[in-house]
Amino acid sequence: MSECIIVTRSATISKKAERVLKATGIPVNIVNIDPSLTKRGCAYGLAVSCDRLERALDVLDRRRIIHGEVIGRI
Amino acid sequence: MIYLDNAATSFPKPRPVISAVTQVMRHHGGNASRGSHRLAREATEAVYSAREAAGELFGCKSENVVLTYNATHALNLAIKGLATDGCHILMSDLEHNSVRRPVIALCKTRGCSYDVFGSFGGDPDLILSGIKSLLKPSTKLLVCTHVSNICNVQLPIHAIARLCRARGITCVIDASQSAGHLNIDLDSVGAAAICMPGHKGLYGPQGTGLLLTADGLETRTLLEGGSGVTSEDEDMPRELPERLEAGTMAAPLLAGLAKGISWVRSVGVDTIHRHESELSMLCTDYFADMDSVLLYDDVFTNLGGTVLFNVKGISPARLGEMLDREGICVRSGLHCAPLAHRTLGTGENGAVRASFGYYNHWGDVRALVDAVWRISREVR
Repeated sequence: MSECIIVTRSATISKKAERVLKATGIPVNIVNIDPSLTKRGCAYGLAVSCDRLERALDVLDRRRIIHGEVIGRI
Repeated sequence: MIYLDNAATSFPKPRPVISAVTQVMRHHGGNASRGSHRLAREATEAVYSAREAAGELFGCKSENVVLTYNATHALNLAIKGLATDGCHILMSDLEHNSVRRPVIALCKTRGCSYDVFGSFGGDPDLILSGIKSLLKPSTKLLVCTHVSNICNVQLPIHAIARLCRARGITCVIDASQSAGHLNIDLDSVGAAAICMPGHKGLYGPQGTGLLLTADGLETRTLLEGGSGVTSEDEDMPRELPERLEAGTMAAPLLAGLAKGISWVRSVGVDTIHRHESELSMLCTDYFADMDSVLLYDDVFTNLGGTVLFNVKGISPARLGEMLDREGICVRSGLHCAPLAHRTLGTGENGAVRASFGYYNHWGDVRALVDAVWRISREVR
C-alpha cells in the first residue's frame, strides 16, 4: 500500500494533526520531508496510507488544521 | 526549613514533575522538532505535552502556546514584538521590572514613550478612568500585571482588555502571580497576549514559561535561529508558535511543566487559591495584633497568598537574614518591583514578603509569626 505525505507547516501542527487523526482511527506517522521537495526548506509531514488520504484531509479540514500540499512517498 | 517564597518560585515541586524531567533526560534525550528519529520524536512529544496541557488549562489551542524560558522572556517577546516604533505605551504602577525595563528599553531604542496608570488597590472604576485619562492617539500598547508580585491586588484584566480592544490598543497581561492561582481563559480575557512563568503557580521547573497568543497575532521576532522547519527562509517561520521559538527547546523541563500543569488541574486552581488565601489571612490576623509589625495590603479584601510586612526598628534585609537563621525563607527588599513598592509606600528599603504555596500549612504561619514576634522583642 502506498503512502501519501501531507505537508504541514510546523512540528506543532504535525503533533496536533497526529493526535486528531489517530483519535479518528487513521494511522499516521510524522516524517521529515527533504528540503528539495518543499519551497522553504525542511518540513514535517504526516504519512498516511493513500487509501485513507481523502478521509485524513477531510478530518484536518473539519478541525481547521492547516496543511500544505500532498506528496507521494519519499 | 520553612519555605515562604513561592512568589519567587514554587517549592517543593510535585513528584511527577521531578520524575518527568529525569525520565526525559534519561530516556528521551533527543532534540525536539529536529529530526525524525525515535529519540527526536519522543522529545517532540514531551514538548508538545506542555503545549497541550497549557492549552487545556487556559482554554486555547496548542498553536497559541509559545514556550519560553520564563515570564521575563515571554514578556520581552510580547512587548518588543508587538510595540510599534514611536508608540505610546501604558503600564500600571504595580509592574515588575520584567515589564518596566522592556518598556523603558523601547523608549530608549525605538522612540516609544510611556505613562503609568494607577492601580488604586484594584478598584476597577478608578483604574479604567485612569487609563482613559492617559490615552493618546499614539497609544498602541498597554501592559499590566494581573496580580502584583508584592501584594494581592488584582487588576480587572477583562475590563482593561475590553477597553483596549475598543480603542485598537494591543493588551499584554503579565500573569506571573495569577497563573495557577486564578482561573484564566485566553479567549474570555480577550488580551493579545498573556505571559507567565512555568515555575511559580504552575509548579513546573525553573527554565520554563508560556506566552499565550490570540489568533492571528503578528509579531516581530526577538530571537532568530534554528526552527526545525523552513530552513531555506531567511526569516523565522511566519506561523506561531515556531516564529517565536528559536533554538533547542528544553524538552526535559517542558515535560516537567506539563506534569506541573496536570497537577494544578488535579488539585484545582480554586482549591490552591483558597488554601493560600487562608494562610495569608491567618498570618495577617496574627500580625495585626503586633504593634511593631507594619502591613501594606488588606488581605481580607485582596485574597491571595502574599503578606508584605515590615517590623519597626529593623531593616527588611536584616529581618530577612534573621528569619533565614531560624530556617524561614522569605524575600526582602524591592522584589524587582520598585514601582509597586513606591505605590504601597514601603520606603526606600522595601519590605519583607512571605508568599504561601500549596505545600505550606498553618504550622508554617505559626512559625513565621513566632519568629517575627521574637525578633521584634529583640530589637525594641
